[in-house]
Amino acid sequence: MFGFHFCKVSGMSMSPRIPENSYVFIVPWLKVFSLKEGSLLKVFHPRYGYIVKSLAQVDRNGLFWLKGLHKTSVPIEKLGPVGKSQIQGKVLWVFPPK
Amino acid sequence: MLYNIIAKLDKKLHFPVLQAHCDIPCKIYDPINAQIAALTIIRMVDLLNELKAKPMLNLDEQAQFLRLVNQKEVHGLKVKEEVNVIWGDYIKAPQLAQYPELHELVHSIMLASSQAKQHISKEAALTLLAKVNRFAEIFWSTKKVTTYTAVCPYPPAEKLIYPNLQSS
Repeated sequence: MFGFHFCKVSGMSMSPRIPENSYVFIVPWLKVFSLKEGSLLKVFHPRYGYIVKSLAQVDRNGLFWLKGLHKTSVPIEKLGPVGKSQIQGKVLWVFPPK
Repeated sequence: MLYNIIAKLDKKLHFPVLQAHCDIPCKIYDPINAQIAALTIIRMVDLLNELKAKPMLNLDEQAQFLRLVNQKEVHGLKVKEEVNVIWGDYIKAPQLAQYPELHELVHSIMLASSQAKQHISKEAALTLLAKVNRFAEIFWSTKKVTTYTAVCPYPPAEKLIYPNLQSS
């Protein structure tokens, strides 16, 4: 509605960059610009639902490969690639708990 | 301060939740999955040996044979995966200092699991269970949980190491 929204993060696969219970400020329309490796993305994943992950790589077919930042994160190959339509927005700011 | 303001807004507006998934639930480790997978291999070997005793297999029995072999393969891999996760994620320098045999033991579990997958051998499957039981014993010891040995109350009725959780 406002072109942005907040989400709460559950799980620690993105820590230390996004600690558990952080709030993230998401801007959906920023995905129309080129996304760089390391960008934090909100993604609708067919198996895991709404997730937040870091962009690992865009392959030659234009598919987006995602990764977590913690050693316990679901590995890249298990997450698999996603299309741009599954990207729900880019994380602009992270508000970690104290 | 900003966090508190957003948290108050969240209480009123209920922001959507994004999952930051872990491979396994964080800090939840238990060797029982590996132990049950090792028991399953033994059970599959027992059932395969029953088929082996028959002079001829009808179509149903051939289908069962394939299914048993497949499950033996699946659980052999499961043993490896479960032990690997505990070894890779939970076992660290303090546990290694306490039990220097751990690296060697985990490697021998990998080999024993391959052996159990490659053959229809009760001996190989029992060897694997013994090693996985030792791994479980060490795991619980590092958590300062005492263990006891009991025969599992279902086929293949083999001895298993269980944590004595009431004592801790």
